[in-house]
Amino acid sequence: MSERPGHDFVRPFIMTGGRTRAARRDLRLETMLHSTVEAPPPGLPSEQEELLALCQEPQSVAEAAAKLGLVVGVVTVIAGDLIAEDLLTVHHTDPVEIELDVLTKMLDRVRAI
Amino acid sequence: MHASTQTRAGGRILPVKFVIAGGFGVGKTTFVGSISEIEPLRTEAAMTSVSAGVDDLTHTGGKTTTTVAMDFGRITVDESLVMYLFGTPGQDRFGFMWDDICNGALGAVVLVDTRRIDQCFPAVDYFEAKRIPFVVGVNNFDGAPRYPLEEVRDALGVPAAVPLVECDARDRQSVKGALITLLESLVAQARARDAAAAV
Repeated sequence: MSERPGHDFVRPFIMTGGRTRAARRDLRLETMLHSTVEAPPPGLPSEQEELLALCQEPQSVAEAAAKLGLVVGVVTVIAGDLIAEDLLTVHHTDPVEIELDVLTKMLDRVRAI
Repeated sequence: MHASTQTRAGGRILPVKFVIAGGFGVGKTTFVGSISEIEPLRTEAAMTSVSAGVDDLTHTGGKTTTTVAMDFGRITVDESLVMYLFGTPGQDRFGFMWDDICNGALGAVVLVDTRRIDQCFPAVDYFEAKRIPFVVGVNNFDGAPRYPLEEVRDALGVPAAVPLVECDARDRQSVKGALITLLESLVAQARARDAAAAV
């Protein structure tokens, strides 16, 4: 048997429609993706459908990539397409100045571990 | 447009990213696993880097893409706040590809193995250059020589403002201590910032 992935191996650019660059540079590893619809509309490519289904619960780009077994860059391309279709939304795309109360909340949380 | 689109009421979640860095085999994934509420996840990122070479006179060539694995974990603070801990790829040669991981990070932990102290220099340099606040965790390996923290500080050449803590990546309490030290220093910085703004 070959050591390489078999029938389920699909080159990443097939899934991204030939594009190799994320359309959106604002999608970072920790950017939260959240589906805007209860169920994926019919007729979506399967990888878009899978990402939407996964993002019924908010997921970071990195989590989505790990759970779908995809490279991060592929997830950002698929997510970009879904965002353009208003099927997916992102939480906080810009680096924000973290307020003191947020820091204190994190500190309390870690102390409680 | 999709007619089925329904806007959801769901609350927004603020993700806050921390980076765990250090040389190869220093215990970054172990550190993440000791404190994460989930089993650390592994994902791969294709990272583009410009090759360094004097013969690179064209602007089209000279770019290579490498796939590197990253392990990360998560700590949920509440329904609107999540902390992510990302381990940087271990090998030195990926050091210059950290931007994708570190962009937007709130803080970092640099793990040091006292047997191979030089391996963490790229991480220290990186966070200093990017002005990302960090603490140094001196990982206690069995059989490794133990040095007073101040000696380690001298060897690293980091200023007194950078906290140094002993840290056993396998021990949850120890890892927790390192994270608390980082968060406390961030709180202190935020207080100083707010005080300065109030003047």
